Amino acid sequence: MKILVIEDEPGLAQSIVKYLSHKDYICEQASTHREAIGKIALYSYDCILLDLMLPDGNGLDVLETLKKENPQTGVIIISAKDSLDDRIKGILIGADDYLSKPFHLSELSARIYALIRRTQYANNNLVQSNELKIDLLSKEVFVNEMKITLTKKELDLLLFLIGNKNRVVSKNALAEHLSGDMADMFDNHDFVYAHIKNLKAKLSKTGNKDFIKTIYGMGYKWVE
Amino acid sequence: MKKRKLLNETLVYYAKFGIVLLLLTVPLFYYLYDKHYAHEMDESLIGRKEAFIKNSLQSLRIEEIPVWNKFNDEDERILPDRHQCEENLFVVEYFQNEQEGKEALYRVLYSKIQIENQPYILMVKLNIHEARNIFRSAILFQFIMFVCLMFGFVLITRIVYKKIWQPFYLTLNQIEAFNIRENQVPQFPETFIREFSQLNNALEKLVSNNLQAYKVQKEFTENASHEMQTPLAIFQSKLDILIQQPHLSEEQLCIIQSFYDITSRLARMNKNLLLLAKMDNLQFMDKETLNIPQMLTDLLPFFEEQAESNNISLKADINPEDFSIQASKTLLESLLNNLITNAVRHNILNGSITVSFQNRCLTVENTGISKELDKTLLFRRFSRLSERTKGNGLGLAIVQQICLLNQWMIQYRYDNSKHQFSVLF
Repeated sequence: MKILVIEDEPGLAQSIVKYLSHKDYICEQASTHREAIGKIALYSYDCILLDLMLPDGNGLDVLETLKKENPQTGVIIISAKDSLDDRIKGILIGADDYLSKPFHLSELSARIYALIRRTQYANNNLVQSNELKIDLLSKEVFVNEMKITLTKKELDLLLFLIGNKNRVVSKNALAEHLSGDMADMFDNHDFVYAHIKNLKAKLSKTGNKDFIKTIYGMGYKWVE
Repeated sequence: MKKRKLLNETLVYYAKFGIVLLLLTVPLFYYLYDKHYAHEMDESLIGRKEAFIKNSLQSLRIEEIPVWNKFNDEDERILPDRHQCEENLFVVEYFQNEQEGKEALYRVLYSKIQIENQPYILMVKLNIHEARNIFRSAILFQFIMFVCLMFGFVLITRIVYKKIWQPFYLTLNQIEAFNIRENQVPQFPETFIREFSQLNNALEKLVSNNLQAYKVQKEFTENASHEMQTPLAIFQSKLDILIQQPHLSEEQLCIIQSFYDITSRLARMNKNLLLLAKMDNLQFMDKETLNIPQMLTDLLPFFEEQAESNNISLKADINPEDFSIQASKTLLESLLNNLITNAVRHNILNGSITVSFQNRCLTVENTGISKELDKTLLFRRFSRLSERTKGNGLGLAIVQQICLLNQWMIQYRYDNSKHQFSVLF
């Protein structure tokens, strides 16, 4: 999978590239409007991360050009401005998702994972990892063909972790992912622990080895 | 203090002036008139006395006196001099008036005369009852004048005042309707009166300066918050990279976790500041129909979870009445979140929370510190009332701003050792 990161802040762009680059993804960077237009004209990408505020132009122009040339490319807007106007404009032009800064790289990764799944495997609603099969349509989870029942939150967690496989996901990121806007209302992330505990218990009931590794005091990791 | 209308205020002074004038002039008029009249009377009395001396005194005999008294005009009498009185004595006295048959007031002149070398008194008198009548007419006349004057004042002020002060009232209306958020300098009317024109110019300058300052401040908060997002994003992303390092010690992980918590707090504060700035900039005009009981029912599971992990019991008493309201979803959600979050955050161990919605009124009641909160500081930005929690001091400021924006009424009460916030939609 090829991902283009259009972001003018080198620090952030580097982090994103570093986090995403593993065996499935190849990342490229563009830090200006011109560079971005040049790259999307030459190459095709599976997913583009687009910062709206570029030093030499508006990211929305890049989006328009892209949608004309390569409409099937998935686009996630990453913006410092959480403005409804920009969000609506972006979605109207054809952006698939909108993430406002600051965000967790794990959240970004999970969204890219979901987006690529949607755009590249349009008719395949099955997510597979280790011995796990998740039917996204019926929301059913099978471990070695054995069905287990997960709550909505547990399924959400599971997909999030799989979207960040082999990387440590912080508790804070999980808390924010699970409770959306309200996560940052509390400093207490015990509820994440409770959900993970239940999820782990349900997975291990099937005699499965522990895929979710706990990183002391910090977070969790889906090991594949 | 009770405020009076400018028009009435001027009229009160006119009326006071009129009354004082009336009170002063009537006695003055009477005094002057009386003095003049008395003088005239005295002259006429002296004239009669001199006529008597000239025409009758020489030929009058003592034995003719009773006859003279009887046949002469009753206003002239010759009386024996019992008291050795002075040459001329003017007095005011009551006498029986034979024509009218009752007592009347007279101006009387007693003067010494000699009849056949014997001292006698000549009494000459004049009825002065007319003076009283004149006095009464004078008062009546003055009073009529006063009424006419006041009527004129009222009429003139009503007509002229309205015309002259009209630009002032137009300006006043403009200023009253002025809302700094609308970002518009009011158009003041043209006027030919210099003071009003001066006033309008001064106001125009004041208003545009204020607007400018307000705009700068608004933009500053919003820009500053936006500018903070990127460094925060970089910082947080570096942490996300850092925790991927293998073989981090527990101590290192603890430090990184505290960095995460601090970034979360910074991000949260920044988000709240941005929300406030956006509200100040009126960026939440997109309203939709929202059902509050439904929204509460959707939100509560999250808070129940939060409350539970803090050992707090959360009771909900939500009347599923069909109550919808036009508001921005973001703002209404923020209001509900902030109120309930505060109830969880500022609670005590094994405490309780009651969230109820009845008759358009949302009430969030919770146990907490056993002291009433300072109502003057409660809703102020960054005025943290308790040191215990990690709140950022913006929650209630946001709640209040949302209420202001939507004209909802928020109230705080400390009752029965419970803190209660209620919002009337």
